[in-house]
Amino acid sequence: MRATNEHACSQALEDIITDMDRRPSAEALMALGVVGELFALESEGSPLTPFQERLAGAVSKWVKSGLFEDMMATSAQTVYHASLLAALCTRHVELPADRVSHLERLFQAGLLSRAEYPLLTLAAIRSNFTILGIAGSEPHTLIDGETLSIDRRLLRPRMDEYDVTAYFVIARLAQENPDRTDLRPRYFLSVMLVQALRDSDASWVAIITYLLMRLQSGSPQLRSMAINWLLNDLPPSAGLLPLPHEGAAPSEFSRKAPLGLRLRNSLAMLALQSETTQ
Amino acid sequence: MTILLTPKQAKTTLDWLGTLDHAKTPYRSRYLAVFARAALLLNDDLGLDAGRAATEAEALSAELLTQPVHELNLDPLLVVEHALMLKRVGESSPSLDRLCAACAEQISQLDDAMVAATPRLRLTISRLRELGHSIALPPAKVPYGKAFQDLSALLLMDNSSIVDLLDNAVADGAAIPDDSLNILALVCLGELRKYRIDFASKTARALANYRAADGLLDDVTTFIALQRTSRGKYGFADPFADDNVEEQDRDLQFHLPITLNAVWVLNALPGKRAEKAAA
Repeated sequence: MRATNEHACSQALEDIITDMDRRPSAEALMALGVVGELFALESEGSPLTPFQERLAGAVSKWVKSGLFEDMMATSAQTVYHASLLAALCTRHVELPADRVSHLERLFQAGLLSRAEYPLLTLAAIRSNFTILGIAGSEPHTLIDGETLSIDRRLLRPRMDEYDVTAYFVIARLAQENPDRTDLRPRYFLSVMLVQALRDSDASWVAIITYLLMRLQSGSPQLRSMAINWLLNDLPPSAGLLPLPHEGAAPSEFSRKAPLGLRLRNSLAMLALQSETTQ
Repeated sequence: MTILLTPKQAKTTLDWLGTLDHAKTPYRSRYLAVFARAALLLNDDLGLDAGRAATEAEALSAELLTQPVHELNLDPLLVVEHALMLKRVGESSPSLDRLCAACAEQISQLDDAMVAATPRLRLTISRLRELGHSIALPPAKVPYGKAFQDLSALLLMDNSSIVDLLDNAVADGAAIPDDSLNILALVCLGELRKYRIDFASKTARALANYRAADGLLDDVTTFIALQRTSRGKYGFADPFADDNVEEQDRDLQFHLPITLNAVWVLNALPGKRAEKAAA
């Protein structure tokens, strides 16, 4: 099962890279970006290293050709994923100094990080409530009281890709700031995993278990039940994991980057399989 | 900590429930409304008029006793829980007690094998015994203790089987391992996020019998408490749904069951939160 999935993952990665080569698009970048978020959490000696090296090779080419620079300077929505991919690329390939210094110039001038609209909208919403006499936390607050702001999503009756993506960012911040124990999630991810298991949603089981493992969060018992379910209860398949069940209103990620999400979740499963059988 | 319910908010909910208790409402819904009002009036944290709950229970029960039983479509467990809620604060209603006695009489005529195979009936019997009725509680048909040991199976179990398990365990006062309680609390939160408030409330009330999973239960209670609308009823209906449901039907079919479950959970669980806050 593992070998065939590896093949499917390699093929999917090649397909997305070819897409980007032939006709660069925000969708192809998003597909690679969600995969990059997973790679960002992998450490040296990861079973996913061959995939990371392949992606790094492609990204370095796009940085050298000026494609990423063009993308980031013309479309604010590409900056997060493009900068993430460029940063990851340096784990395997050295980028030309002149390209990096050019990016530095653009970044410091404020050209490459100007996606303020979501933050401004949140600030405006807070201001609207202030006019109503209702106080609230700062929109950029990561920690609200003793709780990660994201954990409060537990009280919202909906689960979609945004929740998973938000925890990827948290996982990365936690990894880069190991002393910050406040970045440890409570049990929202565990609840999401339980929901995914009860819905037999293999994609979400794989990716949420992966996140819990990387964050060292959730009970070991629950994580082990999920891994056991993935490895022993799922019917063998030669392909990628399917898209998560998002119901009638799929998130923007599922609409724009379905192959990237399927690849990311399948790679997460590969990593879990590899770590379990070691 | 989120404030779950203030006395002022509770009064708005009481008022809304009061609008449902009139002659045009089916008896079953009227009963649910009066039960929900009792859960609020008898909530220790709110300091409301507990005697009022007894008066209302008496008025409706007396009326129900004049009706043919088969037309009432009442849930015997709810009737018995209602009497127990009153008893716990030293109140009572003779007519409600007579309804409970009628339930006990009917259940005592059932075949033991049938009762043993129906966890909800076993729970009803155990509650009747708490009220002082001498009615035998047959052992569960299938031993259920092992179901709590197999955590993977418990995690994947369907909702009705979980309710059956918990009904049996609570009926027998059986111990449940802490790991299982934590899994059940996570399941409960997951089902809440799918707006299965009925299941989640039943599970939360059952879990409240055990001293575990407190942090998770706090979030269950908070989630449910936050479903309160400014009009006092619980449950946010999708205003964009194209379902052509009349407001009165939506009140009875959607808001009333959610409200009942919400105020019942708030009646059953907040004491623990208050204790913890004071500690």
